[in-house]
Amino acid sequence: MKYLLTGGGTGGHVYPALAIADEIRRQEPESRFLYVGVRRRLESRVVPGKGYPLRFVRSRPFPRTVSLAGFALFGLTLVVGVMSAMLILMRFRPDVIICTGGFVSAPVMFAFGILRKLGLSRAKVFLYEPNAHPGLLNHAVGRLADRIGLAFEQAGRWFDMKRVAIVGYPVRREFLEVDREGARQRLGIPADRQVVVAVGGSSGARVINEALVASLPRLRRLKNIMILHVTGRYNDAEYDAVANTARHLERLGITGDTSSWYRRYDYMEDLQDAYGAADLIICRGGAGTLTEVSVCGRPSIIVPLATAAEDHQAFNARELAKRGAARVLYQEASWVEGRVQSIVSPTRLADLVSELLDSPRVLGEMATASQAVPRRDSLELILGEISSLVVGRRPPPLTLEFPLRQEGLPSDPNALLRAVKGRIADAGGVAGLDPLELSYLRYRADCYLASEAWYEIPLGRRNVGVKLVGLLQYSERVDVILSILQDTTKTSWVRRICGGDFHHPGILRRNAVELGIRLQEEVDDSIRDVLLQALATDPYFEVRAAAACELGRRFFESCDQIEAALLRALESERSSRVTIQVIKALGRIGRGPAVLSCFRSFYLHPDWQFRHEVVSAIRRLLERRVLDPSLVAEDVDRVLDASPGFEPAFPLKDSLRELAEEVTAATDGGPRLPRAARRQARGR
Amino acid sequence: MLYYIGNHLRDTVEAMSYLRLLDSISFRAIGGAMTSLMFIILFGGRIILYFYRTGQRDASRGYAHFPGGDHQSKTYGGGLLVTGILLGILLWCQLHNRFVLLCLAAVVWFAVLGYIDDYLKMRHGSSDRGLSESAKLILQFAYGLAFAVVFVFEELSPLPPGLATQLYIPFLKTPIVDLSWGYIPFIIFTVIAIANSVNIADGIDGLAVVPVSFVIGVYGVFAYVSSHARISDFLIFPFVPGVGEVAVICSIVFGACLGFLWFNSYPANVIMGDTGSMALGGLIGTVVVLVKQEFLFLIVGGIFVGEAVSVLIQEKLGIKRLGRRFFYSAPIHHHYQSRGLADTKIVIRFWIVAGILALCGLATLKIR
Repeated sequence: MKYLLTGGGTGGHVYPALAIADEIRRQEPESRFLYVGVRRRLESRVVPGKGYPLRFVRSRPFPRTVSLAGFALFGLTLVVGVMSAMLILMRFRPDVIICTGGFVSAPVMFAFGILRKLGLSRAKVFLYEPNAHPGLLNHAVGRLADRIGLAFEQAGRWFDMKRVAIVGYPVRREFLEVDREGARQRLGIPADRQVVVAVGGSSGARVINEALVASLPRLRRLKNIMILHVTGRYNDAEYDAVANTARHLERLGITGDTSSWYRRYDYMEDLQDAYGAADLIICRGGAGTLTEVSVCGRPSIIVPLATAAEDHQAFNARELAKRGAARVLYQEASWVEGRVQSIVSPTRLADLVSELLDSPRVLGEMATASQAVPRRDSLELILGEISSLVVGRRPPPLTLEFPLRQEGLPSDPNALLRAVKGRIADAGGVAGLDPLELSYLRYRADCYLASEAWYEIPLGRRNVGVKLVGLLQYSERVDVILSILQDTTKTSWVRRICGGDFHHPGILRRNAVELGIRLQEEVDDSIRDVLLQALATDPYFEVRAAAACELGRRFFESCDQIEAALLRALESERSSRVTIQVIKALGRIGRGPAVLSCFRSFYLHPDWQFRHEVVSAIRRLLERRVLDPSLVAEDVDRVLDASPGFEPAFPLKDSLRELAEEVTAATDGGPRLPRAARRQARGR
Repeated sequence: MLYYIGNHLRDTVEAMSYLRLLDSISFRAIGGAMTSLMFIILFGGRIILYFYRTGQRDASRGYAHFPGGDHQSKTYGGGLLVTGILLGILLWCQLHNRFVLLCLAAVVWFAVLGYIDDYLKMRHGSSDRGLSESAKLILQFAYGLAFAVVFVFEELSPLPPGLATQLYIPFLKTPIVDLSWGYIPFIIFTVIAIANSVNIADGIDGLAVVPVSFVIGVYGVFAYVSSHARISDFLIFPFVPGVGEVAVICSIVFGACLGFLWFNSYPANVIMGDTGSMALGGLIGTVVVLVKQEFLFLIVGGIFVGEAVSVLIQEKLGIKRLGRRFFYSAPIHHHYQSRGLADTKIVIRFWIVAGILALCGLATLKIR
């Protein structure tokens, strides 16, 4: 039998294919294999080592941004790739094609589709989908497959139910047979050590690497610790996993022979030995990794990938945490090197690791729970599906019911904002939310806060992040908000000519004050200082107005400093909206005589809104009893009262409204509402 | 229609030769204006009540849930305005004239477009759920394309051959360039821009009606000048026979606008809505192109240009690209409202500015 394997780009696609191929080779030693991949991707490094012939075609990921050049290049590459794939298919003539997804398999699948239409190929196709949310390619070629194997039930929504089978995730056979002593022996680790293994997925996660190295000084002090750090070989313009980690270690002074407590690996061929030797594993939340960890029955700290489709990594992680098999460590937004970045806090990582290693009993419970996570015998199931494919037997169709839309949140940021507001309203305030849910919502706020994506009104995801920080009263993030507010890096000169100012635009800074700060329950001096500075120096009028409003509403100690700042602002302010807010704030917190004399200078001001505000402020001062009424006794005559501002009163409308109220009150909202109210209800 | 009746009667009956008066453009212009004006004033009250009874009002704020009493419920009276205009045109214009047909097409198309938008708003009870912006743009584009094609093609065009694609600029006697095919996108852009800017300007009671009437009056004068052989020769304008009907239409619209102002002034019990403002905007766009004084609109219609530009700056440049506001609110009349100016003052000040700009526009008749 001839098997063609394709799929790749990341480990989540390559390793299942290899696992399936290994198992088939074990059961049918005479089968022939061919792996089709893309140059310089993971499969080019891993597959030849496993002893399978590898051929290359050209392919590109589907362009995520809308650009004509991007689409043109993609189309061209695809055409070339499809043509070479057709040659490969016609020469190799496979009986079964096993496709695990990823853009790498696009040429082969499309080529097969064409050949099947032409009647030139009679291979059977087994499509494997390792994620809860199918990738773009698998979604597109689902119709070509004769059988579709799913790791998660939820993915079945996108495929034809008659051809779907739930098979779970096929772990490489080596993982099923790990043993602690043998693994430790092979790695040369004494039996009394507590081993912590950190892996960032096949591409090496930058945040995990950096957080681990930064926490090493603390972890080094734990007795008996042994850290195995697999950095991965990720290398692109911004981040080179191996080199950056080496530099970071040098800066911390961890050089020389550290193999008694810390070992670094670029890439580990026999990862099962590391897992087998481990007492605790730090990893990402991909389906493959988590299955491998639970097959080995080890406790884990999971750092979900923020950009996963439908946030499925966080979902997987929370499921395992609920079973007690793992702990979730979310990435946080933080102000690093002049920008907002999403990182793992090294202190929290070190805290969590030392807490777990200090209590072997807890570790033991987590290990048992991890082992007990329900799994299927995926390799058996998959091979069963493939052989029934070959023979031509049709399986019974599945009936699956899908829970309505995972209890997750919408992915569109504005929809998510509305959903969060609704949740908070339902729970009666932030304090009423379940702590796990609150921490997950705050994690989403962090993701948005750290996002660099600007698109759509209003102003992209960072704006939504700022609003969420306020809504969720996420006071730990206030320092990030303050840094955003104070950031004075200028934007590009083109934008500055058109009227822009800083890298973080005016409306974002205004939301930082109005929503990020206003909704916090407690304030402190650093916030006050930042607001004073914003009032004095920010170039955008809405920010100054919001700062003045906040200063008036919140701070009652150290009023002199604020009062002086407000008075200074009044003298030099050009924008009427800001002046109005400053006058209101002075009315709320003003004390000294300087306030009254400043107000007096407004009595004859041409703008009636200023005079109106000044009069209201004086009334407030009288209410608060900081002003002696006799002082303003004559001022009433001195204020110019000519004003073009008026509010019309329509007597007919007023009496109609009162009539409607009386009628509804009398009928108690009975069956017949007044016509206008009915129309309004219908209009909703 | 009266034109045809008059001609027929004059030819058949000797004693009615005084009906020759109906040939004169100025007579028909004044007659048309008076007709539409009196029709709207006399019958407007009843028609508005009819609209109110059939529920054509913005009922998003019911009485039972009203926090404050400062908002009138608005009746959409755009149909009244359009009816007045159509009545005047049908009675007093030469209906076989291609200019008249083009203007009629503009009024009807844009009025229907505006009516669909208003209807959707009324149905959903809120002013956010009218036609989507792209749907409106597509429909306007369709009209613009049809109109431009008819205008530019020599066989269909009402203009004398060779004139249709010349580009004229105020203050210059001769056309600066002949655009040929390029004139079509130019026409489409002009019509869409003008129709939308009139729509934007209709924000406060009476704000759009008077500037529209000023603009249409000035264009009526320009149309009359172009149609009169001796005057156009004297003032060095291109002579376009038949465009005098556009002058008649302009004065009919002038009269209709004044009649509408009778009811629409502050505080208004009837507003134009999208029906009226789209119809007027589309008609002005068409007239501007027919009289070949497109750039004059930048002067005479400066109010509308300013409103549209303020919306563009605030929304497209400010909020979407730079993340900041330039005005307190857009369009510019909302900005003045939030600065504390009373509605009536804003409206009358805009009228004054529109009047001054119209006079400047008229001055370009002589300053060449």
